[in-house]
Amino acid sequence: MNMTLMSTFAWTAVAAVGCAAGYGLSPAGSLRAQRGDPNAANAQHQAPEFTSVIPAPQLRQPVPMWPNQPKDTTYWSIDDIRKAHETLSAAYAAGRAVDPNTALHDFPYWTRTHALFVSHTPYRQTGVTANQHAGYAQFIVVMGGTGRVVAGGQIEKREMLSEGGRPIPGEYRGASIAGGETFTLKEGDWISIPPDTPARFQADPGGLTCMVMKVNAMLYPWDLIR
Amino acid sequence: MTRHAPSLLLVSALVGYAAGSVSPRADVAAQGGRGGQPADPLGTPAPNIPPVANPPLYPDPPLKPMHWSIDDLRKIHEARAAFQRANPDRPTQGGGGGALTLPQGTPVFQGQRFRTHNISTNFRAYYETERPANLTGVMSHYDDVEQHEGVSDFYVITGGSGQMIVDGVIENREYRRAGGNSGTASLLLPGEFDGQPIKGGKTYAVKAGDWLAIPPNDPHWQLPAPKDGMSYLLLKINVGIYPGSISR
Repeated sequence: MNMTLMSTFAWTAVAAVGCAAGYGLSPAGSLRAQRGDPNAANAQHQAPEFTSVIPAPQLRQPVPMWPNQPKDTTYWSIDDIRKAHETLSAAYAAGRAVDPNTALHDFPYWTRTHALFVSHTPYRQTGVTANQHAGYAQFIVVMGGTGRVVAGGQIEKREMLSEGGRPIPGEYRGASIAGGETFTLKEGDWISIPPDTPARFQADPGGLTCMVMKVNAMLYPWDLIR
Repeated sequence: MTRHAPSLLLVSALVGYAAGSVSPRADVAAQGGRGGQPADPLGTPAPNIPPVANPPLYPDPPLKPMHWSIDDLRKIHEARAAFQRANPDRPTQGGGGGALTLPQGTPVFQGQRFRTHNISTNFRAYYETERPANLTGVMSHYDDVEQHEGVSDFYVITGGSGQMIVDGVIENREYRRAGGNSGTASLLLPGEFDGQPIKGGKTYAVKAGDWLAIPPNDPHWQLPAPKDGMSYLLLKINVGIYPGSISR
């Protein structure tokens, strides 16, 4: 009986040693992998060599950009930009509400990561004028007119935007801002508003026209962004 | 027992070798970590970090709004252009050629870096005497063409004038290198290309106030007018192909 047990133990031990030795010497074996630094020269670790062809070969297929990522550059002249403001200012002064994006060519400009819009704030705009967007940062270029923006702080009596009874997460509205910083604006100025930062624009007589670039912070898709 | 032991050892070794050959390669894991550092010998599992609803903005999240006055932007351009006129051969990109000294009281542009985009300004000059271009080192009056596979650029010209050549293809195109292309030891930047000139591009005469939206992968070349130089907003939006540290 004892002899049989010993024999079984010995056979198992021999098989285990054989397997371990075989595995260790195999291509995946950890013994082989740890045997040295593959980038070593004269016992010193060297940075890996990059092999490339210069000049560079043609690129792989372009990565598709959603939606309607333009292939070529778009150019807007300051003359067209000023004319857009004048068009919108005159329309609002005459009591005609127009889509500001129709005033400048190639607007709105959508890509997967960012989108450009024209926004016009009429003089003495009332109602819900404070906005807060958790899902995107804004970079704004004043196209024409003068006014001011209060940015930062907190929206007073803040409410989540609702459309047809459906709440829009990350979009908040209100009538005023407490504790923000006020910047005076004129043509050519820039403003950067980080995500989730309240802002409220007010225009002087003649209105204020801005290009608003919305950079998606990748929290949620465009259809939840206002 | 003794008679069969060598055969058993050999068969077992073959079985182990075969198992190791078909299993996932262990050498990467065995060498573990960055820079050849050994892996955690205890095999400690990765920490279970819960998803963050609003991930931190990288780097130095600017949690406050910023405003840039066009008056300050114009002053910066005028001071920069005047300095260049006094130092016509000084390269405007990548340092070198002596310190940039602007008159006291010149506004300082403060940019912002977000996880998703980066706001800065740039100045380019026409070099009256041909000099090695900033990246490829070819003799030219202009800096090199750029092409960024992973970045959308948005330009607002703030001062000076000149031409922008866009679209088309870069002739003599090279991969961009982190330390400039004149050496061979510096790191290649995947998706970043340079060279000159542009073949088959479209030319726009640009002046202060103009905008350009340059999509990813589209070559673009600034050709500032002599004397004037050209200043512009450089807003780069990372399209998520590679980290912001690679984009130029």
